[in-house]
Amino acid sequence: MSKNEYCFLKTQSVLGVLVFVFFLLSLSLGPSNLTILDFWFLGETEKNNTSWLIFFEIRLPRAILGLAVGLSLGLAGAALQGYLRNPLAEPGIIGVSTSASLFTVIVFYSGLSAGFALLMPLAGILGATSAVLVLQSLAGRNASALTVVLAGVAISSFSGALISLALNFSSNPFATYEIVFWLLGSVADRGHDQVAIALPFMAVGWALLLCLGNPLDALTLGEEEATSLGYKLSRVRTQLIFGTALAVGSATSIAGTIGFVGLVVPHLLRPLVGNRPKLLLSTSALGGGALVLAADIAVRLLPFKQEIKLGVLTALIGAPFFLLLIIKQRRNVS
Amino acid sequence: MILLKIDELSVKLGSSTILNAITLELKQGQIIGLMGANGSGKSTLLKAIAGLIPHSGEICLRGQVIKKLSLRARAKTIGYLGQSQLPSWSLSVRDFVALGRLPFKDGDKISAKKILEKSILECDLADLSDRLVTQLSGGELARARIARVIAGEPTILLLDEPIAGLDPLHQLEIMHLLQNKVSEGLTVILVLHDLSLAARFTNRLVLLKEGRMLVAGPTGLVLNSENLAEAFKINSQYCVTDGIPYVLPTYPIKTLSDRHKG
Repeated sequence: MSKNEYCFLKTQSVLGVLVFVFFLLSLSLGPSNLTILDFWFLGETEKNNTSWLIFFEIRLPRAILGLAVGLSLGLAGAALQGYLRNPLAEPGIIGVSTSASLFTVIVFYSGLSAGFALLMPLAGILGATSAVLVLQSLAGRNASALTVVLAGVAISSFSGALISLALNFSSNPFATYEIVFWLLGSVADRGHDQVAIALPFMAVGWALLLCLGNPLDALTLGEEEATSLGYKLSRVRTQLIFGTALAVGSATSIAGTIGFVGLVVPHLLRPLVGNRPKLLLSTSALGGGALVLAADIAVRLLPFKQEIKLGVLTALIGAPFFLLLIIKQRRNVS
Repeated sequence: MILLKIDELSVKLGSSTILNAITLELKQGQIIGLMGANGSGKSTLLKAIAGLIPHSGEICLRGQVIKKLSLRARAKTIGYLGQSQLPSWSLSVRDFVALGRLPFKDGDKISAKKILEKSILECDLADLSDRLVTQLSGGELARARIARVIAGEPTILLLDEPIAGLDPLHQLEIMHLLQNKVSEGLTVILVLHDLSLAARFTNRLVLLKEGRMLVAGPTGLVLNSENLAEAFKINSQYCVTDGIPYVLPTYPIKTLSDRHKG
């Protein structure tokens, strides 16, 4: 076993343990002082009482969503950085997150979500898919990484502008309040039905992205040499875009905008896997899961009157990190 | 034995013709040099042979039309190295060389690891195998890139200026390395600008001018002052000292100011 393979396995094991511990902690923390052990020892007759409801209906979907959203963001971040060969890339960059948010906001705004709750996640997935299709047509079949980024930035800006327009024209202050809070990003107060509809889409996205390991390794050499190694880049790009749309689109539709996870996690873990894009995929997925679970635990522990939103916390940590990365890149260039 | 047959190969980029009706036959086990002034179509010809750009005409490798081969089958037969560039991520030399095995998807097999070790040894990289590629010197990186491409055990190797930017010692090292591989049966087609190295190391030369093939044949015959004047607008002398041929470009037929005037 090579040194890098050993480091990869060690990192995966440590992250696996962290995810497990944070998942259990997530199940154990909340306004009521019940821990995972209290639920473990509940008798059959007690399984309909409030304690069981807190555990099964409130904390379990929250923990599952935290893990799934983190996996999606970490994995998509690593895949995008590998494809674009740019450590500053993250899921939001191709416009998928903002477009998913836009479609979900439209459902909120129109009041359709009140009649049919599952329409929200479906709208998010539709938004993500639309972003992908627009991106494909804007960038063209044999677009370079730079064109994809520019097209993504355009979609993201336009979707953002439309969200602002919706908020601008909203006559109902409660709807505006609800939209703004949803946009801040959180995995709290979500139910099993939302998990059930989003998880299969996310799983398909994960599968598509995890299969990109070898082509992403080849892309380390540049697009021409990657093609000369037998990879059809248009297919790689399509798989990447749809994988990201399914994973991040469905995650965003349920949890709102949780930024910077896809940026921070791959950057921190890259040196531990010898900078290989293939090894970074699954490592980053686990890292994303661990980070979002940890952040979601932190928002519950922070001593504020009102629980701080998960997306706000990740942005507070991620934005300075992003600036540090830019400064580091500028130093490298100079 | 004819390894590569190129018939009426043309490449167009929009309305401009980059390569025009190139016809060539190349044998196995030789170093073939592609030479010509900047913009004459050398790199485009290499890319067309590698199947990286759309073209008209036919390229056959051992009688098989390259266009009809799957991407993976092509990757197993043709090793392509573009003009020197640093990899996007700073991999270790070993991981970098291992990328050459990607078309075979056999990275974990013992046989693949043996091939990898052989490539690393042949390119004199054993002491550097754990070093990051970004920490290599220009000569070391050039060797690592060649190790990467020979790790795929291709039938034919296409190299675009593999010795550009290297000092004379490293240029000779790379050319000797290629000569050794050719003696084992590999065929190398490379773009180079150094007339003396071409005279010394290549078996055949193809001279290109403005997208057309000016002349092709054994190096000794092609490297004459008439052909070089036509291809590069230079005067030249072909000499042999201690059995080593070299070409001395002496003076441009037209100076830069003349060319601007005329």
